[in-house]
Amino acid sequence: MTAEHSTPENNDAVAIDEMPVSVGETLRQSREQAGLTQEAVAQQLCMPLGRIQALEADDFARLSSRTFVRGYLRAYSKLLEADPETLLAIYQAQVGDQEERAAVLSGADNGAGNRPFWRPAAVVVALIVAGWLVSSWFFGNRASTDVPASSVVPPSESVAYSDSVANAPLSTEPEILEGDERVGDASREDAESESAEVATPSAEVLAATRVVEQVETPTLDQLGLRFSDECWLEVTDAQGDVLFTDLVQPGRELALEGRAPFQVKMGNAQAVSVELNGEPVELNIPANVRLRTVTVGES
Amino acid sequence: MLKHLRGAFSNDLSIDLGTANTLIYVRGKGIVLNEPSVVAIRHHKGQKVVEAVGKEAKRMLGRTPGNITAIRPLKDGVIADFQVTEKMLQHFIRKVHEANWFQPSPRVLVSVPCLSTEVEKRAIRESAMGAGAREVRLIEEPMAAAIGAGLKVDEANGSMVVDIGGGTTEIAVISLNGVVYSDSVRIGGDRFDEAIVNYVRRNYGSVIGDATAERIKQEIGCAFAGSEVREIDVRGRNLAEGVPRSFTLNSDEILEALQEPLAGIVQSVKSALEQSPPELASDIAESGVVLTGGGALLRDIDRLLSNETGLPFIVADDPLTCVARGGGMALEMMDKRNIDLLSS
Repeated sequence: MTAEHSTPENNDAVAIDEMPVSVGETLRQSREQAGLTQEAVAQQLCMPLGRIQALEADDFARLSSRTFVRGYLRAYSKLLEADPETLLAIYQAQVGDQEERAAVLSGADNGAGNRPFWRPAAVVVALIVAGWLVSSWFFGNRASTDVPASSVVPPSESVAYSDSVANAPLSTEPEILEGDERVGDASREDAESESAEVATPSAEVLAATRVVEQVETPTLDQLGLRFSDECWLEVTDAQGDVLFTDLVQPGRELALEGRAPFQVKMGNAQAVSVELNGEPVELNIPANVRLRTVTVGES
Repeated sequence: MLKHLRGAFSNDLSIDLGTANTLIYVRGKGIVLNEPSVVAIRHHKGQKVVEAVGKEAKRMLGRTPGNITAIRPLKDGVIADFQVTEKMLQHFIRKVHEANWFQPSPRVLVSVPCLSTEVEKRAIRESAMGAGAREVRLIEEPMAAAIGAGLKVDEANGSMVVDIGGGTTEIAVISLNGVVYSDSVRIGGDRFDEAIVNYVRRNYGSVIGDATAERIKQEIGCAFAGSEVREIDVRGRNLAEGVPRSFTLNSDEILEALQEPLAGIVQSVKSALEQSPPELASDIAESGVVLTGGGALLRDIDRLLSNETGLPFIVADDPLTCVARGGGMALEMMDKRNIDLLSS
């Protein structure tokens, strides 16, 4: 102990002067100045001699975790009466500043602090969405009872409608546009408040039928039939609905509306001439055939 | 439900509920609170009102008028006054979440002494719940200390930790994320203070307070003869004359005063070494024992233990906060790797 007591300031000076030098070098120099051997240090610190040698050789891999290395350095510099912080600073610089923590939590250290950030945000967003849904349900509900006609149309209706736009005659176009807009509005509102549909079924049905009436009339195909002789006739539309079944007297003209293609079953095929949407349709019926079923308006 | 909603606005906490100091570690932020575990209570018309908590309350210790009592709700590492502990925790948890609009409701990991009984654990769990936690987990103190000190607890390699706290000293041998051997002795910083008070009364015929004793211990206390001798001037009430007197103490006297509690710690460390399995004991002899807790700051305590056992003893970095930091790291480890580090 007397040896270390003699040169405490000297040791400090050495440690500071030789900052860039390695830990092991600093320790060795201080130890030699204090006149101690490695064995003496090992004995005083109760450490195996190998550990002291490893410390002085900067062979930190041979020592266990960094906690221990720092502890050894602190004990060693205390024994040499040097400032442990200087030595630890050199050590830190030497091994780089990777976190000891990373070693403890090996391989699983990223995103640790992230969780607390998104959780409050998620709750706030959820609250806003919930509030918006509730308010839109509330106001949507009120609006639908006030003006039922413009409120709701089931989405399928608008699809069927747009399908038929292509087939419709030119003259009905303005009306179609108007209807289109309305359907568009309605379906938008529909998406916004599903609950409105459930809440006011009667209003919805009313509105739906009214809109359908307005919309459907121009979209249907016109089937015109002219008879030169008495003929039995059955006309079925695309959905399989029977539009007409009867015996028709000669000279009579029939105008049917429905969705193409039509199934036309004729008892006296030679006596019938057919028009679809104002245009004559060629039936190509052989001369000796009387009973015949034809499909009109097939795309 | 509401607790969970509030929980989204709270941080996970690791609390080192110590006899002397309470530390709180917040995930991603580090140690955010380090205050003495002291509560000052005012008795007002038969009702108890919390007057101050933490540092402020500690200044009141031994200096209070009749209607205020400054108490330390934990004794020997366990809860001595349940309600006051709850109030104190509540105060600390709120303080940590000061910036929040909502009342906090965090997940909390609390460290407990390793030999605490079911009743003591339950008291800690319930006081944390009462303080507003939505989930309470417990971890054994030496395990948290080892993680906080940076030991590789998950390796098949024995490490020994001696955590000298305010009320207890915890000794544990840890390997593969588990405690192989653990012991807890009710000797700690408080016993050191007590020993100093008794020594001064016996040798100087004067009475000093606990706060003065603590200051003496921190400034000149040492555990091993041979280092430089320091002195301190203190004032205490002379028993014979009844008036305050000033006198000087030196570190050799304090060393003498601390002999008894230090011998207790040395004894339990030795018996822990005796009882650890030979493979682990050889690992420990190779790398050494880590000291944590406030007691590790007592000058030369590592040299005392090294000399007594012949093993290297090292003091961890920042020994006071090891347990709280370790608890925080344990929370992260448990979330990521699903390791069970908790005490049953």
